[in-house]
Amino acid sequence: MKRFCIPLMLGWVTCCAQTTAFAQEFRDHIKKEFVLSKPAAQNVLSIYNLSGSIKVESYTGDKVIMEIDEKMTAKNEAELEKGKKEFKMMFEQNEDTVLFYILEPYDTRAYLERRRERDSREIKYHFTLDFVLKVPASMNLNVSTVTDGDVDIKDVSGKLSASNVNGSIKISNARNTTNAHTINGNVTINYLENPKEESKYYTLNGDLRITYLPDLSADMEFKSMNGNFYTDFTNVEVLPIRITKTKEQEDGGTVYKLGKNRDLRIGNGG
Amino acid sequence: MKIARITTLLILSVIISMRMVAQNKSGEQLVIPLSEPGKPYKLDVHLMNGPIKVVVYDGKDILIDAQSEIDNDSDETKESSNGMKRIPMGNAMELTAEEKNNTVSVHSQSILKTIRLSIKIPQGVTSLKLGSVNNGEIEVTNASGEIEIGNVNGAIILNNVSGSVVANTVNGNVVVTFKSINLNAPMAFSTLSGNVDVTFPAALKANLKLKQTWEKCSRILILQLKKEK
Repeated sequence: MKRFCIPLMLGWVTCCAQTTAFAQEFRDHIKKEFVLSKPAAQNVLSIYNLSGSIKVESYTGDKVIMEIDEKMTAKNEAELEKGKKEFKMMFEQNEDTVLFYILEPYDTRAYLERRRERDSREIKYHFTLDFVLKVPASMNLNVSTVTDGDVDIKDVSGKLSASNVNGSIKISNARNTTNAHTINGNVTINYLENPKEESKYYTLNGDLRITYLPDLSADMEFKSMNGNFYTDFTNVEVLPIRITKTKEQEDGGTVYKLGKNRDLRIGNGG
Repeated sequence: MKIARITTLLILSVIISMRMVAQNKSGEQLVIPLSEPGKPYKLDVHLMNGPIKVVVYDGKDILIDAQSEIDNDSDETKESSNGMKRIPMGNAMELTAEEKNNTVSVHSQSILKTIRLSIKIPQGVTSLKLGSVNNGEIEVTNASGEIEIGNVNGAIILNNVSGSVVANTVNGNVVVTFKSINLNAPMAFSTLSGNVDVTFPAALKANLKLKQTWEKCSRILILQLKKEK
């Protein structure tokens, strides 16, 4: 029994050691600075990441400072070299936008998604880009990632749009209109100034925790599959049931919809 | 791995939320005008969760009354652990009806909530297809035409219908009373767990095929042929 067991375990250990020993990894640190030609409040910083986190923080300077930790892994040297050659990041700037996206092996710009041809290539390397960004406080943000990281925004007073899929979104000390959308993760936001325009928060599997200032006046629409709505605001009024019947013409037919959502009014409404 | 975990979570939450459903109800009506009123039309209704009741009336439009059931706890405000109060959100539901060339199809996106549909239809339906999965008895009164009913956990009750019927359920009785039948159309009635009780008009001429799945219980299969006067 013993004799049989030990060689078996040895073999198993060697097996594990082999797989880790041959995995190839490449790391790089990229730093870019963008000088803005217009005031920061008239600029948008757009990041279309795929794998990796995005951390944005404001600072007292007037440039956009982008630091990226790049990590690429592949099972063997050849695939890693192929990845290093193929992988292409794009940094663009025009008069009111600073834009980052990945062009190869996939174009990550959201608006090109539908036009993208079906890609049958097999990508055998994995890449992660972790962003740390420093921006002037009044910069507007439009940042998105898909997997392997959270979105974390701190002390930015511009308009915020943050999107994730497999990760959370955390916004600290927001002061402006916010649009936060994730699928698997929490959305946590606190405001130093209540947003003046319509803001949206969405998660499919997670909690939405939004902290406003006590003087909030807003109408809120809440929709949930399995969730409940909790608040510590005392001036909450549940508005009468709103029934929406919509008629749409769709290739000759008519669509009628009956949808019922409960709306809430906090303070004097919005 | 992640996907597996999410699915488990979803299934868990589905089960939990289904348990929380109670008997509080609230209803709304959707009016669907036909593009060619008075002419033959088709109606197709499918729900995941809830009963469907269809009756014929003397109007021109299809009237759909939808009732959704409210959460068990929704009529009281509950406090959570961190001093937050729960605001009852009531009975959100969504129902979509599409009308195209006198064909109306109705379905609901609220698959977790029980929605009770009570539908009034004008005369002249040629094809009536109704389906539900859970918590639903399907009942049709006075309709005539090709009637096709599919249910899973609930009975099928057709009163005073004309034309042809295909009615299949898994758990529940199938009770059909015909006013008149279309002699040329094949019909089928089945249930896995329940009784099949079909009353044909006295002038029936037909070949009947009867089958029972559980052969060991063959004594349960009783064919009663009664001629009504």
